[in-house]
Amino acid sequence: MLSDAEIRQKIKEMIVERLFLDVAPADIGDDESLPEKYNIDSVNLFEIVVGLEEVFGITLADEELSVEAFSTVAKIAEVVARKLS
Amino acid sequence: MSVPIALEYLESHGRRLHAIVRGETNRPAAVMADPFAEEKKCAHRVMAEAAEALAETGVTVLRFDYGGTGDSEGEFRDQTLAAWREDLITAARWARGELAPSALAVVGVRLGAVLAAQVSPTVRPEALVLIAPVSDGRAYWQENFRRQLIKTKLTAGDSASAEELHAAEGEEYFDLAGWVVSRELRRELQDIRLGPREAAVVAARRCLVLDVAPRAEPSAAALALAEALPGGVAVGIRMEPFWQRIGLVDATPLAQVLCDWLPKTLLELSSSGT
Repeated sequence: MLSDAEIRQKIKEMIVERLFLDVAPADIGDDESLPEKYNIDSVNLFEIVVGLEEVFGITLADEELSVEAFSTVAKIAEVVARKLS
Repeated sequence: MSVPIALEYLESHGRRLHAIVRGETNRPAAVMADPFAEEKKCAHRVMAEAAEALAETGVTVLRFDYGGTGDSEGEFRDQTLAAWREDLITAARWARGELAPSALAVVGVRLGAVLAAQVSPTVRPEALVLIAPVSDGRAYWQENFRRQLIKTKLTAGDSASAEELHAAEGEEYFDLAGWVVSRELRRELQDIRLGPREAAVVAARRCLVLDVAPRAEPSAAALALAEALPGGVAVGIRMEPFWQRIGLVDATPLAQVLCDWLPKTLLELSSSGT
């Protein structure tokens, strides 16, 4: 079972890789607004959703796709933890 | 080197297709097959730059717009994959007849890669390049649907429901990010399959599968597809999915692989007889 910290770390690594961000994963703050700090648009958000499904082996239903729930690493980690449990 | 550029109009079952040719006759040539809808729009710049780079190597490149897209005649809402396959066949036949190439390649991106593979038994290109081909139509449609859902939520807020969008999806016409997709086209898209089994009917002497991803190694699916294709090889490119990016994407990694593989391959196939 992954700890919260491990989930957040994996999310940050995935975001940096899939969005080709020029930052270190550790430099992304847990509560930073991803849309505001990294100009996350619909395409990027979709990349994050696909990345989460691949990295964590989860499936997100269309109803679970929410801009608010994917706005920070901490909130994304909550979604992932819920799905993994 | 100055490469001549010519604007052409091709007749495809009663409608005019807009086409641009970069290069000269009696050279190896490539016809490019674009991706679908918004992906075509996003990929335009990268594909134009890749075409320019290829033309600089001596490969004459034909780019065209499918009916109902770009500057070609027709309405997008009336299009079908069957009609676009005809358009691609028209473009390839025109290239064979008018450009008199020593060898011909079809270079397809995403949906264009699927169409290129599907028309290959008719067109019989010497080489086929499949760039990030769509392998599963249902997953592809779902991907497009989800992107539309996220876009709607970003603009209208999280109150926009997936249910409403699913209801709209069931109508005769569905607005997919501004592209009006008919039920028939949606069904055709969902029916797409391009894997090792479908690769068995592909007709070309050499095939290149280009996997464009955050990592430079080709995926297992790309390797399996390449293995099933005639003379197939898979290459991975670390590059943003340029068919999804509205902003500027550096075309260099893609252009480099195309310029390394295609001229050499087409020259080999020219000299070995076709």
